[in-house]
Amino acid sequence: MTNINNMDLDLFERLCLTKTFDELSQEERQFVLRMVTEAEYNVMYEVYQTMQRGCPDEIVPSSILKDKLDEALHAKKCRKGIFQLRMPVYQSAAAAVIFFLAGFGFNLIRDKPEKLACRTTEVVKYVDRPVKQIQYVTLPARKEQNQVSQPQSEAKTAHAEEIHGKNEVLPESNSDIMRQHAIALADVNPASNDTNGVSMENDTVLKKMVVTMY
Amino acid sequence: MSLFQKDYSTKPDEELMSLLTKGGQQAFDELYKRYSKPMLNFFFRMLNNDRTKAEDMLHDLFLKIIEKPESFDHTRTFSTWFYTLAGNMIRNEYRSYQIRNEYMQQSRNQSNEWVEFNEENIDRLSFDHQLQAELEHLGPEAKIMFNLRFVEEMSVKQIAEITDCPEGTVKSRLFYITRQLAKKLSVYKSVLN
Repeated sequence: MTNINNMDLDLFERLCLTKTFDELSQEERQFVLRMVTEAEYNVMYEVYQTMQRGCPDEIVPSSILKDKLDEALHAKKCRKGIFQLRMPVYQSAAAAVIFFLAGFGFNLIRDKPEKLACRTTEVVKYVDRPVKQIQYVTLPARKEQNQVSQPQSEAKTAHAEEIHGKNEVLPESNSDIMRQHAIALADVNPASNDTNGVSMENDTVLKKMVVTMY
Repeated sequence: MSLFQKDYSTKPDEELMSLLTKGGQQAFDELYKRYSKPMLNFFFRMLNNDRTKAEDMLHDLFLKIIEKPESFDHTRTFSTWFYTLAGNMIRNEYRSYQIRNEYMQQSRNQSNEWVEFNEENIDRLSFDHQLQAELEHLGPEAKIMFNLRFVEEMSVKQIAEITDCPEGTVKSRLFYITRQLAKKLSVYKSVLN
């Protein structure tokens, strides 16, 4: 049952398609039994017979299908009709050259349009930066505005006295105020030196001012 | 009029294909007349008796020869080439997940039905139906081979060409398929005897 060659398969199929096991000759039976059992052979025979009888439920294609295919064939013929206009290569090349030359000549004949002068005007727009924060610095008012007839030294002295009298403590962080304060004090010192006899040795700001003046 | 009309019914398939390449409507009509019914039934059997799908496949198959008749290999016989196209279409269809699922589901349903039927009465009719059910269980390759050999009654050589297998392989496969079917249908031996 193991060594089955093509010849055996051909013969087996021929027998199985035509004869039942009972109809087989002795030799044929021996041959068949080398490949399958008697029961298997009988079923195989029946399978072949059933298949040869054909399927009972054969179907017929619908007419719509044929119509669709005819339409497709017709459409293909139309498509082919359009694209079948074939032209030799030299003709198409000649046509291309003619078109090119015609286009080139047309460009030469045509007047060239005058060039438009292009002028550009630069417009610079300034935009002011908006003021977001305003810092107000309050300084003590000078008395000399009211005492116009007083000599300058006296006015300064009074101004210095007023500042000393108030004994204000200005914040160190505000450098402008500190500087104004120092200047005010510097103006006062020479006058006070005249009257009180205090030395100017320690007054560095006054010294600087004197040097600058000279 | 009929005197000038060519008789296409006597022309071989290959000549009709040549005429179809030139856009011959009558050549197409003749090919359709010859092959539409067997091809439809081939698809019908291969696709779990689904008529709609079989008609779709038949439409696509004929559309192929309309659109590209020049793809026909004139060294081969038309029927072999045409069945090769059909076989490839079926293989592609089987490859899709959906049909595999449907196929499995349908086979299961059919098997269940027949188990009940067998218990009631075992006769020749049930054998035929059971054979059809078992054929549905076969894989696509085996199914194509079996149908081509025993329904379409093609030669082993033609089947070898269609399935792209050596003749010896086709013969041995057909033998083992039939034997496998016989083993499954051996329950009917009392009826057959």
